[in-house]
Amino acid sequence: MHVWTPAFHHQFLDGNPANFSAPPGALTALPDGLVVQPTPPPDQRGFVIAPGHSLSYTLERTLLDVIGIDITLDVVVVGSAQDQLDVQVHLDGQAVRVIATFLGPLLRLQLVVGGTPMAASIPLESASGLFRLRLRWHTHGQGSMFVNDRLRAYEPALRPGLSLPVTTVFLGHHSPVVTPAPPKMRARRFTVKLLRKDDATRFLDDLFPLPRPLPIDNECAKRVQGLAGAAMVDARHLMTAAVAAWTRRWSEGQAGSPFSAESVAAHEAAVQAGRAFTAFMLGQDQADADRFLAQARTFLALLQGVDPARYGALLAKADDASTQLDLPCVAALEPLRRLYESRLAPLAELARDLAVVAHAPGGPHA
Amino acid sequence: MLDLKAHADVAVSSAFNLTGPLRHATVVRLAAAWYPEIRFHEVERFHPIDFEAMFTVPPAVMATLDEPTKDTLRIQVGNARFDPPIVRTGSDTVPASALATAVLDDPTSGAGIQARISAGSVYTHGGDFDRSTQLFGASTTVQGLVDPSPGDPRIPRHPIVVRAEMRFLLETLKHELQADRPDDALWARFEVEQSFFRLVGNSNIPFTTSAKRDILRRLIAAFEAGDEAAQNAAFADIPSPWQFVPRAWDALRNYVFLEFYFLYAFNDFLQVADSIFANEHEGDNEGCCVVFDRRDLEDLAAGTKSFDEIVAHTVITSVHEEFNDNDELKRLPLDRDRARDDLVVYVAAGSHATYLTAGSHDILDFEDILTDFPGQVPGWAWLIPGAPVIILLLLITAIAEHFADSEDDTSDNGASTGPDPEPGTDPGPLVFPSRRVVTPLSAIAGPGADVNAYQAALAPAPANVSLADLTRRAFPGKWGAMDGLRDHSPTWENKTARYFRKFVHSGDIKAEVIL
Repeated sequence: MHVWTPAFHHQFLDGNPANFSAPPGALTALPDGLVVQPTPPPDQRGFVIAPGHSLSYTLERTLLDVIGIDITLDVVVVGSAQDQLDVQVHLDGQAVRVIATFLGPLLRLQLVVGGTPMAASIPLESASGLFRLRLRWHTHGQGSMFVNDRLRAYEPALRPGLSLPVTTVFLGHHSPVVTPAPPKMRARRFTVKLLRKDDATRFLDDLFPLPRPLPIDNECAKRVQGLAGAAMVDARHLMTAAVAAWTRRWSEGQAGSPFSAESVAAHEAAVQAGRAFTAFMLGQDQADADRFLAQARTFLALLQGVDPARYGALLAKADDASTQLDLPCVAALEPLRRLYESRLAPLAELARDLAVVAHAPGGPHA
Repeated sequence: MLDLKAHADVAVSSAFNLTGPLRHATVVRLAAAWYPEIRFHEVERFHPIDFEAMFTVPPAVMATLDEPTKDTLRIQVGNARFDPPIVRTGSDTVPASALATAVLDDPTSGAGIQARISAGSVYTHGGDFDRSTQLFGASTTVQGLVDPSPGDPRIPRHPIVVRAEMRFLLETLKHELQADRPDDALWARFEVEQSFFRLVGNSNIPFTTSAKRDILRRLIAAFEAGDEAAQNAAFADIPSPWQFVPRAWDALRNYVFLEFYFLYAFNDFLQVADSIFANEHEGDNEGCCVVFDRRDLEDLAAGTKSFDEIVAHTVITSVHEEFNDNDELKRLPLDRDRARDDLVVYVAAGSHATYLTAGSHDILDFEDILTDFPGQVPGWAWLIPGAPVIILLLLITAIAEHFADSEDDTSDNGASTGPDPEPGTDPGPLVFPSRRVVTPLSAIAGPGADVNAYQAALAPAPANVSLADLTRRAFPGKWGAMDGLRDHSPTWENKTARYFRKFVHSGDIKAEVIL
């Protein structure tokens, strides 16, 4: 059960460039093609990152409405302090680019999303070794750079609102010309995960799977989806505002943290609420419902504080969308509704309780 | 109902044999020589125990407890309380006493228990984490502490037992395709027909699963008979624009799987993970597969190759559900010693997903990205009209998108097991012994008859096979009672088909030209 979904995953476990996982597509490996080499000793495993070396993967189906990108790249560097070694990752041509340049014990890291760059110079403990680079972007504006699992740079306003298609994935060196120099960098693991606009909704659907397709009236479905979609757009605007208000641009070496106390509290409440909600959906335990509501209240109170007017307008819009899910609208679903009525009754009650909390998150606790 | 005598009769009449020319004794030797080193995470609480212990451990533990504690572990069924384990089928409950090895081994009483077992049966020793922990869970570390740490793992509570099964792929598919295939968990399924045919372009021409299976049945018969004309006739019946996949055929004819199954009493991923990925259930079947070149094993059987000249080809592991498309595969080095050294698998804490490297592993699901959900609201939202559900959707969406995804963790600092240590060497305190149970699947009948698990149901049965073992291995029901929306116990599933699909997708398969 996952929200972000993988688009490409290669661990370079052996000498077969085609030993990877991905949705259907076509792989190109340069300069050697898809020739299977004998499995090398462990210390020589990985895809060589050097001029003229690259892996390109073209998905059969373009992935649309991508609003989040998560790239993990493990590289082994055997260079010295005098070397300048670079590795690049591109998604969809130049739409998303990661450029990592190792300059001895310094890593210059760039993440470019929709033409907007985020950059950081990151000191490393040594010029060589295994490095795990992780770069993450979300349409709410958050750009994050991790090296060896530690946050090194953060940007709160990296192309907020952008959504883009992804068809191609590229890993390699910027230069297409092969040189005879021995390789000084190898990729050991390369994973690209994406978040599409509707992935979270799919995740919610999965929490209580029903036989598909549901016999929903088309007009009714369009109306509700239109209203819910509009509310979702407004919710994203509010979250973008919250990210801007709660967090700040930061890179390693600067004082303080990129995350304000409100953001830390909101994050913690959100995580606990998410966990409690999942537990509730699986077990329908009232204690999980109570835990969810308490944490949701904390999160929503903080969110309301960011922009009370926008928060109020969003609730009104959500309420309006909810009223469209009325009985006449779902008449054809009546047999299913009866079938699941008792199992869904606690969820309906939770939704009502949450609505009360959402309208007065700062009010007295139940 | 399970009727193993009838299954054994089919096995005899169809000359059931999954190990080709190899004798069972040779399979046992290969399983010992190419037994992977298995590294568990230091926090691992449940280790592989195989089928027998699922039945024998609970009574043995219960015998050590005082009456009040025993009562907390008893399983309530209607108005009755049973000592664990039990097997339930509808309203019928088989108590622990009737599941004892001696009862299952006896032809008469064993047949009586089989008659009460079906695909709807459920084995359980309690169905929750606490009960599983009390009966099966490790509690003390190597240094005698309660909390494990890197280098100080929990000590396996019970002896580690791993099941090994060899399957020559061609023979396995042949027996899968036979019309009178028995329905039990040992014979099980090798439903790989879709791997052999691909649609090039669009077509409305029906090409049903049964038609694919029929062509494969004919191809295998023709191949075994060396009848090229019959093979060509089978190929000619593939409707255009469908095409045969030579790579799958090459894999089928040229490779052999030695599968290692790790059966755990409980999957307690939720106890070790800090995530919203729901994954907890009683009973857990995981493992890995070592691939051999068929020609090598045929040469070994013929005596034209020595045992020490055999080098395993590839290792494949199973990671969560097959539809996640996240199983791992590694072509092993050509050198025997290096291949042996490289044969290491890592078991993720709690989930028991099996990987080929230590560290953290994103739990990936490549199925999700193929599933569009454009602009929809979750189905359940439509079924609670009148509830202000959109607020809930917005909130959970906002939260869910910012969750870090679930991860599996594997480690080099936990308990491990593997091939028997060299005599006179001390493997250290973190290495634990384990036993391999090799399911005999060699020729059941004919001039070259050898050892086969189904022989245990024949009369008279040879002494070297056990009806109890066959009954447990062939059990067609579920290995646990958890039945939630997402957390549900598994039925036993031979992993041959998923390993085959992974091998065809990512393996280094030698190609042979089909004329």
